[in-house]
Amino acid sequence: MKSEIQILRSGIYSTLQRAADFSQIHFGVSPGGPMDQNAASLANFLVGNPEDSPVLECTLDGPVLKFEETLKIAVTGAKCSVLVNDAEFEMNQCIEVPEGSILKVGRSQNGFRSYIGISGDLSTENENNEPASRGELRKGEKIYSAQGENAAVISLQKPKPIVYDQRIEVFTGPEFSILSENDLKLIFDKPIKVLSESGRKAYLLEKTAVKTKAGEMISSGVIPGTIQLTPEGTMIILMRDCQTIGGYPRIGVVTSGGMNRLAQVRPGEEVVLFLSSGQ
Amino acid sequence: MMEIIPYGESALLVNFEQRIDPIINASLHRLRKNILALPAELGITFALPSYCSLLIGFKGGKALAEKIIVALSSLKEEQLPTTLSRSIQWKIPVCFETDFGPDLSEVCAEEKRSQDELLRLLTTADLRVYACGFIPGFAYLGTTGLDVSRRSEPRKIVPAGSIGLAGSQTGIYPCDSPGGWKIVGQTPLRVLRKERKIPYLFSPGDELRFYSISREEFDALKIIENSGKLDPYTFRNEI
Repeated sequence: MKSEIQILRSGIYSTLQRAADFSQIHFGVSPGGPMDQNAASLANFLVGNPEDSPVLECTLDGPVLKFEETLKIAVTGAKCSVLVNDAEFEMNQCIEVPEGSILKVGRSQNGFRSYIGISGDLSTENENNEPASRGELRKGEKIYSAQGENAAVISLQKPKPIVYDQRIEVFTGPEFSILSENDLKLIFDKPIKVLSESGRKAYLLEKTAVKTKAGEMISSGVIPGTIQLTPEGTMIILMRDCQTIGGYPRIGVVTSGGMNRLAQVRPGEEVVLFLSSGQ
Repeated sequence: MMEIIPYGESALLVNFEQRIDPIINASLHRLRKNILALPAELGITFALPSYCSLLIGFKGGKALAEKIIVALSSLKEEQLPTTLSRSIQWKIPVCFETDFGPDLSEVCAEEKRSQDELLRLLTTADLRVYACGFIPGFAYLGTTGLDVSRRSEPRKIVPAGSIGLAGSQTGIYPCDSPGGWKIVGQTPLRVLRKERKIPYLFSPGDELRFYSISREEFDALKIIENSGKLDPYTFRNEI
C-alpha cells in the first residue's frame, strides 16, 4: 500500500534522500545521503521509522505538500515554521497529519537544511515501481509512502540533538604533513568564508595564503568529509554527493558531527576549522 | 610495501608504493578481495581502489579500527605478488575514423607519430582499469606511454563510448558528458547498461585491449546494440 503525497510547491531545492550507500563507490558513484544525518535520523525516530529511512531534505525554503492519507510527520534541522492546514506546530516533534491536509514548511531562520520525516518508506516510485528520480523534486510531482511490515529494527535510542555552531572538528588527513607550522595558522582556528558555489557535492572555502607544491600526488580515493587543498590555497570540503577519486592533497577529514554542522552553514557564512584532540 | 593511515572516524587508507604500476595495482585488488571477505563483525562498508591505494570504510568506532588494522596486518603477509595474475580481459572494438576520433590527427602531430604508429600503440597496449570516477562508470585506463595534453577548451559534449587520452592515461566516456580529454576513437558498445543491477561494464582491476574496426562494422554493431541484442560479455574473457 502506497500513500500519495503531492508536491504543491517545491521550495528552493528539495530532494528525497536515501541513506548514504557506499556499495557502488568503486564505480565512481558518490554515496549521497542526507547532508545533516543527525537531523535526518531524528526526523525518522520521531515518526517511528528506522533511522536510515529516506527523508525529504529542504534547502533554505521548504515545500508545500498535500497528504492523501493520514500520516505522521516531523520536521527537524534548520529552524523554520511548520504549518499544518495553517495551524502552527513545533519542530522536532511527531505531528499526525490527517488525510487531505496541507503541510507548509517555511524558510529557514537559522541554519540551511530542514528535514521532513514521514511515516513509512518514502520513494518517488509509484505502485508500478516506475523508476525513482534522485534529483530535485518539482511542483506537480508526487512522492509515495509505503506502509506496512517494516522488517528493519527501529532504533529505540533518540538521536542526541547537536549544537549547531560554526566550529568544525577535523582529523588530520593522509597528506596533512605537507603543511608547515605557518600553514596551520592560516587554516585552523580562524574564521574562513564558505563560498557561494558550495552545495551537496562540495563546500568551497575562501582562498587562504597557503601555497603548496602542485602535481605531486597520484589520484587516490576520497569520501565525504575529506578536505582537499589546491596548490593555490583553496580548501575544498567534499560533501555527500562528492567525487570518489581525487588528486589534491587531503589535509583533513571532518568528523561526522562536523559534517552535520557544515550542512547547516549557509554559503557566505564563516566556519572555523579546528583539529580534533582525539585521533 | 604497505602503509596504513587513519582517515577520519570511519575509514583507513592503505597506501602501496606510490607508483602507477600494474603489479602494484593487482596486489591491491587482491588485498581488496580479502578485505571484503573479512568477517561481518568488523563492519567493513567499502574498499575503494585507486592506482596504488585502497580506502577502507567501516561502521562503528575506534575499537573496530584497531581490529581492522590487526586483520590487515595478517593479510599483508599474503600480499607478495611478483607476477601479474590477470583476471578479466576485454577486447573492445573501436572505430578510429575522424568523426569518431576528432583529435586523432592532432595527437599524432603532438606525439610526432604517424597514425599507423599511434593506432598500433593503442591496439597493442593492455590497458588496466586503475580506477573509476569523475562520472559514474568512467574508467581510468593506464598507460600508453604517451604524454597527451588536454584540450585548452573542454568540449561541451563528448559522445558516450568515446576514447579519450590525457597525459599517459586513457579513458572511456560512459555517457554523453562534457570533457577535456583528446578524443581519438569511439566504441559502439554501451559502457553504461542501466538495465543491469550493476550498470557499469568495467570494474577496477579489469584489463582492456582495443581493436580497430571500420565505420561499417561500427554501424553494424551499433544497430545490434541499439536493438538490445548485443551481449557485451561476448567481448570478455576470464583468464
